[in-house]
Amino acid sequence: MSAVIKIFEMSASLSGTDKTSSTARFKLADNALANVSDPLTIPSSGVVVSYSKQVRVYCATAPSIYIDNLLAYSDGTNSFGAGISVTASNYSASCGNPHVFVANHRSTLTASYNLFGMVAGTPIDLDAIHTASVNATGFCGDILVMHMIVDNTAAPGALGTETLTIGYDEV
Amino acid sequence: MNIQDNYSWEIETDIGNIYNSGNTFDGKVIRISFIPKKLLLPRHDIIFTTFDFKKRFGRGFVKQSIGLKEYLHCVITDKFRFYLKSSNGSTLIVDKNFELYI
Repeated sequence: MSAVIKIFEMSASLSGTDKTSSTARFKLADNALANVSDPLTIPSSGVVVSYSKQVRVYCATAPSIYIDNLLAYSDGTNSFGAGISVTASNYSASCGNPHVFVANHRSTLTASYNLFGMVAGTPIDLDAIHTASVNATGFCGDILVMHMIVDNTAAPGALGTETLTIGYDEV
Repeated sequence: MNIQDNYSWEIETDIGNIYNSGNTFDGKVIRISFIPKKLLLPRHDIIFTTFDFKKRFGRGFVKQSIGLKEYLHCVITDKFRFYLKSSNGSTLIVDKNFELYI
């Protein structure tokens, strides 16, 4: 049987929440609830940074041998609109210690990418830090930390959804 | 059925061994078959004649809020690369170094 790979949101909780079939929402609270509470506000100047969305690959059914080449990417089009960006990093040293889950993380990532600049041809390498071979169930690969950043040119209103893609190779 | 299980694969080597798991095979690979386990999907067989088998692997794409969107079976030979989409059985033959992400 082939491996079953899921996407877990680690926000506020190291044990994570399965978000393979549901959405994550950037907000001004450190939780994994995709509700309308704690919305991001448009600042009069400067930027507002959301609490982090931290996602990680979870292997629910082990592969017959191993999986590798974990990566993440977007469709390359920021449909959130002007004044809204999303930064992402798997280099967790930017929010504390390398490859350590950090709750309540809200400061700007220092070693980050524009998520919408990371597409299929230039993805984020998700096994750059956590390089252990994945041959059993459990979390694997790097924690992907993301922030939404809103500046004063953003338009008010609820935003649509964007899709994060996780790719992996299985032998 | 999970999309990644729409096909099983089978490798035959020149000493008559048949494999459907693992990544090391005794003998020279002479055939790899992708056998549908779901109705209305086509079977695919690659017979190695003037080209040589290098590697077989699967490649999954999990889209957040959607789940596993596609699962590719890939065969690398010394001349080309073969991708099979598990979702609909369609195939793509490309340069031996071409990495397909969707």
